[in-house]
Amino acid sequence: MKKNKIPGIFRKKYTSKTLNKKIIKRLHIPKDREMVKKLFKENSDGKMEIIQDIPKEVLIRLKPLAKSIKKNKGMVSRWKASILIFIVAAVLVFNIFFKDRLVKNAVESGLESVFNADVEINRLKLSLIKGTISYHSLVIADAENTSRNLLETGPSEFRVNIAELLSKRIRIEEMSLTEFRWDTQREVDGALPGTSPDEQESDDGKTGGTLDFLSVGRDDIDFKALLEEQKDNLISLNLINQGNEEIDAAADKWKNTYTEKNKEIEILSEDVASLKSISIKDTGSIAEGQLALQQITDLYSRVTETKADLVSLQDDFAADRKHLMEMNKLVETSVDEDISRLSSMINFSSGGGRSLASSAAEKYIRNRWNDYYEYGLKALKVYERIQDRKQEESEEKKGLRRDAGRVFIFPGSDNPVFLIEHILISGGDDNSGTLFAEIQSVSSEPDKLSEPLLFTADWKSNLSGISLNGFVDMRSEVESQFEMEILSPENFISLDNGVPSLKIEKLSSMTDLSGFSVLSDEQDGVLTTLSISMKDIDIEQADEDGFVSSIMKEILDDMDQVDFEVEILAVREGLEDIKVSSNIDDILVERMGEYFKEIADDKEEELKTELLNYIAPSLEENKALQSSMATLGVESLDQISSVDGMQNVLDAKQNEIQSDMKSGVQDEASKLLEQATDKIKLPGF
Amino acid sequence: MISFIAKLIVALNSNSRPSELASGIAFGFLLALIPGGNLLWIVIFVIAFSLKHNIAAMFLSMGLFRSFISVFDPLLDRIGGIFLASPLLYDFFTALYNIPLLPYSNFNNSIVMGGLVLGIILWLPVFFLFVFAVKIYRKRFASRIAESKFVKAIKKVPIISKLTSSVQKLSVLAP
Repeated sequence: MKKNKIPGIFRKKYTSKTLNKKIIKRLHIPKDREMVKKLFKENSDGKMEIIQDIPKEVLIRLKPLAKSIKKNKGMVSRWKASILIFIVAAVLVFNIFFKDRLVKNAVESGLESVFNADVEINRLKLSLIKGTISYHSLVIADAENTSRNLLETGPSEFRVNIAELLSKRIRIEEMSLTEFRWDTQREVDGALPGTSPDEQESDDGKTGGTLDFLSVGRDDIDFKALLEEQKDNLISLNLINQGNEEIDAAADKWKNTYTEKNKEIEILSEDVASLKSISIKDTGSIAEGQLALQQITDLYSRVTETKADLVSLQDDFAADRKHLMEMNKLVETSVDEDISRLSSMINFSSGGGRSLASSAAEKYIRNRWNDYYEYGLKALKVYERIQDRKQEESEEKKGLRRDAGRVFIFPGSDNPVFLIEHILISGGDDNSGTLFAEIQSVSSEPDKLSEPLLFTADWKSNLSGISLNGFVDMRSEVESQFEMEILSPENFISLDNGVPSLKIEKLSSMTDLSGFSVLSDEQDGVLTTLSISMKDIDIEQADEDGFVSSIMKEILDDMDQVDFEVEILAVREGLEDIKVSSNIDDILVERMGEYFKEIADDKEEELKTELLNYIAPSLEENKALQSSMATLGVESLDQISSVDGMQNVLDAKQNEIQSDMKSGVQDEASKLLEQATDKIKLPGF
Repeated sequence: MISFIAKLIVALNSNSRPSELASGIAFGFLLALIPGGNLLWIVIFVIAFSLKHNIAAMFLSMGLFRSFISVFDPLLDRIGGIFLASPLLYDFFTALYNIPLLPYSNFNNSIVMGGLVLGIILWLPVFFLFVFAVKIYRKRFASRIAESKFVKAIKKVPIISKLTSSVQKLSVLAP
């Protein structure tokens, strides 16, 4: 059997003071303290020593007490410190070996939440000592068209200022993006799991524009599509449909009313027929005659009442019908109104050729500008999504049930919380053209910077090129928030579809383009003015000897260059307005005005025919309903006429009975007179 | 959770220092007052974790106080705001603000500052209150409670019996 030994701590000899300090004070259960106190006795040396004769149950208790005393020493727990050191070491080791993967995943998921599409980063490397993040390639899918990439870059490097990072500020000194490309094809779908592609703008950003039939060519206008698109706005169609609904409702109402009246008339008719069979000629009873007369009078009053009802109903019916007929008359005038409105949408007003060349240019510019506009809009959406994310994050923090509190800013470095000093972008190739762009001072706190966000971009290909220079100034109290200069000299442009209305099958020229974009506060959009000069215009014509072709050739031979002045207003909803004027317009009007007026008239007539065809089914329905209303009108007259007939019958019957009664009374009087004469003997006779 | 409660009961009834329990509870209270997710909270947690006190008491009190501490956020906001806006402390806070890494402590947030100030002010009262409470418990109630009929009856409830077995296991391990 194992022998219980006294723990070492109790075997030592203590002075009274040290015993109290090292043993007694470290016992916190009063009962234990008293027990241990009793175990120590002062020895001959004056020291406190544990007694040798200790009961077994007390001896067993001493072991855990010794442990408690040891445990109750000191302030810091070694094992806890060891755990903390181990955790810190593990985190550091894990970061050293896995930081690249961690950062890659964090960046990918962050960008995916901003762009709402698949993001891939290859070979990302983070160097905390150097303060650089680099990757071999980055591909961001287009959320609106997941089979294509919004952008992709090749090897890129971000230089981060670590000192700023320690002060809770992100300062990227240089972002260098190479092999930058956009709108490239993807091999795999770029949609994120559980998301559907963003809804496409149904109007393609062309809501506000008008179609010019001359610029798009005679056969290009799809009247049917136009009518379908404008279906809800067609006054004539709406009026007919509304009329049809009202006629339908009225026809139902009157049909029911006349059915009810028919039943009433049938009952009356039966009553009249039964009265018709009454005859007092044979009996000659006056009493019977009076009864029959009373019945006739009662029935007559019912018939008269019914007739009055029918006449009143007929008046109401006529009023309803008149109202519906008036609506039908309105349809005729509304067709003209629709034609006029649709014509203004298709811009027949330029039928005189007043803005012919401008309109042709407008179509071309609209197509080109729409691409730039869509990219601008995508950038805006990304910016807004970043803002939304910030909002969501702060709401998520609120979700932890703690208030956000107020943040007090103290003077410190004037650097903003987020700053990218330089972004250098290069990309493209010899085929598609090369791109160089530089963006400076992208910041979350623009007021802390001495300069606005500056950007320059140059894109050059074999046939054309464009340079953009400008700034975005989000600082408070600045005169202009956005300005951009556009320069694009010596561009070769080619209109492969030509200008059909001018009998031009193909057109090419060298074009100089320059312009300026500013923020339009009044219209809440970006206003761009462009000057375009077309030189060395080369045209291909199918019928060179035709009237229009020969005039066009003469005009272009006489002119050195054709100039256009363009004003484009892009708003959030799309390209709001494009105004184009040209020096060739007046010349075309002078030379070919009559010709184009004829075309415009023809087109207007064609539109009218299409509109009438479009509303024809509704008109047919309208006619059918009108016809059913007319039938109801006839029925109404029939009913009145049948009631009239009843009145006549009753009149005749009344006369007949009265006459019978009269003759019956006379016969009776004669008989009584004879009887009286026989009985009374007059003197002298 | 049961393990934490068991550890707390063991500590209450063992020879551990009352100050260890009280300090655990006071640190739990301080950590509950300061909103998490910042360097200040992490530093205080690391200090609290390293000190020799009852971790179970710290986690339990932190969980308990956190469950309703948001009610006091407006008060913490006001207290923090008073300190942060104080002209006397302006230079001090400005210096702090410009020390690397310290901005990650979010000390310039009114609720963080309010929680820190109120937590420090109340740390000692909470500490002494619980030291006193533990001593009183051990002196007057521990043995009575252990032997009361109510406790004996309640020990038969399944969840309590599970807790009791945890306590017994820990008591064997504990000194």
